[in-house]
Amino acid sequence: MKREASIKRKVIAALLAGIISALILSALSVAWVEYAKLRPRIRVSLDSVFSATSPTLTGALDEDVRNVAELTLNDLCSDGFIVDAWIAHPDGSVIREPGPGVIRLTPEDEIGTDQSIAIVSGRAIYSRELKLAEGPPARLHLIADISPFKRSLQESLGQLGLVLAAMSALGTILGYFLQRALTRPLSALAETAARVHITGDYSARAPVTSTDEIGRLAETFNEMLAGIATRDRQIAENAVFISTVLESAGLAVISTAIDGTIRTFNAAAEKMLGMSRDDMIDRLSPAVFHDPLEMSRRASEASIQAGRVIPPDFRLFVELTRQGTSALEWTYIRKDATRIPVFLVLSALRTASGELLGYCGIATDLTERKRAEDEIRRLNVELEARVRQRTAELHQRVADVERLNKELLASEAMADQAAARLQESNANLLVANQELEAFSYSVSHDLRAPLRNISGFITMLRSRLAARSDGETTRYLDIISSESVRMGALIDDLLTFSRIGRSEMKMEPVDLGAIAEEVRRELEPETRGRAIEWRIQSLPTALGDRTLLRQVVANLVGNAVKFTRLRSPAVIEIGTQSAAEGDHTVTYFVRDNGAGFNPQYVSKLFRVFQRLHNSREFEGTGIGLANVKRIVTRHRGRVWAEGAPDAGATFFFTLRTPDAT
Amino acid sequence: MSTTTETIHALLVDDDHIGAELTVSILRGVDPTLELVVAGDGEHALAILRRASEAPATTPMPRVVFLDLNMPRLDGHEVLREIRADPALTGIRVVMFTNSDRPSDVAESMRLGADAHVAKPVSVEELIQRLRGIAHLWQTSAPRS
Repeated sequence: MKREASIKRKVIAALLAGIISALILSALSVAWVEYAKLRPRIRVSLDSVFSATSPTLTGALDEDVRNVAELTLNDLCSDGFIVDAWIAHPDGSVIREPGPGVIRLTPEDEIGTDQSIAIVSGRAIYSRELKLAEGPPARLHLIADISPFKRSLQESLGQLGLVLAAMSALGTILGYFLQRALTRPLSALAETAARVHITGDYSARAPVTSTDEIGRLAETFNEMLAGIATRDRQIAENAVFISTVLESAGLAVISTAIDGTIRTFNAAAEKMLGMSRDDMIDRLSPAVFHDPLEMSRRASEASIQAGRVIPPDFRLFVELTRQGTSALEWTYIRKDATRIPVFLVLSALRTASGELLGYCGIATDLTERKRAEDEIRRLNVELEARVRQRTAELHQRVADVERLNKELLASEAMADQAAARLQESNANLLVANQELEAFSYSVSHDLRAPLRNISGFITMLRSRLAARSDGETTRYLDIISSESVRMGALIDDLLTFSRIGRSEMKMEPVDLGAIAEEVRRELEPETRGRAIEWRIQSLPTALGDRTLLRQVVANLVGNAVKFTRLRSPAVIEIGTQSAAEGDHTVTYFVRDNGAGFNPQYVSKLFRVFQRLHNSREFEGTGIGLANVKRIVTRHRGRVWAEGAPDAGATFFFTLRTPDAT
Repeated sequence: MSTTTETIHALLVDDDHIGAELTVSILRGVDPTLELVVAGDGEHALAILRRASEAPATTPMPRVVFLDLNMPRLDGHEVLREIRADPALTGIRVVMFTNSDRPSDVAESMRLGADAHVAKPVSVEELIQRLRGIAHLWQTSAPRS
């Protein structure tokens, strides 16, 4: 409010000063003008007096009637304007003498010319020649009172003073309104500024009432306020960020002012040193937590380096940060007097323009690290010992391995020999196999020829003896003949058996149902006249060699027909069991209700030349089931049988399905 | 077509003379018009054939040769190769007549140009059946002029 008043006063004062000085100046100029016009006006007045009286006076003088002249002069002096008048005659006389005690002023210097006027101390002295009819001219002197002229001047000036007063009053009124127009918005602005200053609330805004300079000022002020508010928020955020970082940092942060007064002492510093912030703030660094001995040592080092004395106080830190950041290990002394190694990074805090604000130290507690280093050193020592021990062991091992290697090499040589021998044996085996094959062929072939010869000659012998043969002879011949045929069959079966083991298998999907049906049809001549009930299920396709699988089916079905010879009706069933052998495998069976077998001998069933029945009851070579087993086994299947004497037999075999891999 | 009165000359080559005797008996039973000459080995057989090609008047050229496989010195396949290589012996029917039904032997017989390969079974009846099955080979073949 004081300021507002001051501005108001200033405005009014300035206004008034302007008006008054303008009026004074104009008054002065008027006075000056009036004053400058005073002399000519007086001269004109005196000239007119002279003109009016000079003819009378000249005539009187020419007539030499001096008393007339004197009377005229007296008349002149009677009106109050002319206070004295006289004539200086050329003859040296003075017409109209002054009164007693009066000393006439005659400024002779100025009255050199024809006519002149001088104004001396409120009187005008007028002097003019009076031309006489003859002789030198006389001179008329008039002394005039100029106070009436002065009075008129004073009146003018008094009027001016009145105008001045009126103008001042007007100026004051104008000034009031002007200050209202000017200072209202200004004072509002000032009020807003004051409020912002006091409350710190930068959301306040000055009213903008006009678009003139003040309006723009208010707008700019508001914009500045907005800018300040934004910056204020950023600063506040930064402050929160910095204080949060500072307080949550694991590093002790201690900052000082330029003189070393501690300003910041964060939570980590409190924790590290066991000292409270309130105790440490405003203390001088280096405070109690620095080791004085270490400070002295560092100070003397720094002194040597700097070439001048660095005292072991805050100036040491100043010196250390002179060239930039200092990063050294220091010893801190905690409140409980324990000493801790720290890694302290010291730096000077400077503004962007380089102005020094203070110093900052960031300390890391190296206790754990030192302990870890000690631990590592200890472990290293242990490790080295262990390594030495292990190396020794390793050397022992290497020696062992070398020994074993030698042994291994020896064994390898032996193995090589063995492999070579094995290879040789393999080759021998192959040769032997081939020889065996050739042998079995030639044996069977060579055996056949004599057999055929025997049976052929018996046939011829029988036809030759036909008429005279007795019963016994014929029987003997029949026996010889049938035995040779049996031997032939044995040889053929043996040949087949040996072939099954070696022949190449051509794997393909085989329709076992079709094969079973074929086999059944082929057996029709043999089964003619017998009552056989066939039960052939639909059989799934198997993966295998068609020719070999056909032999399996033919053999098993043939056996079933053979061993049911004494049954009527015989029942022969061909089918499959549910897949008990897992996926991709089918279990086929051939079941009959024939003679069966004693399960006690089931293990002999599939062996070559093993028969469970007398050949007189059921003919056969004893090779058929051995062939079946050989074929099924070569197909990676299983074959087995179930049965009981006179209760039939079931032969099972498994084969893979075509989708098996 | 042959007639019952016409004689068909045939050559049987077999080192087993007992077997050969039986064979001759069987072949006569199968076809009585066969006039059989027996050679005891391959060399003998080739000698007869060459003589027949030189002097057919004294030694008639056989229309069919029954050739055993397993023989000393020249075996049946070697004799067959000689016959097929000799232009003078073209047109002769050759029946391999052997104890072997080894597939490799059968294939070799076919490769060398045999007209048939008869694996002799033990059973005489069966053998007669088989021979009857191929009798047309020599019965339809035109005699060499």
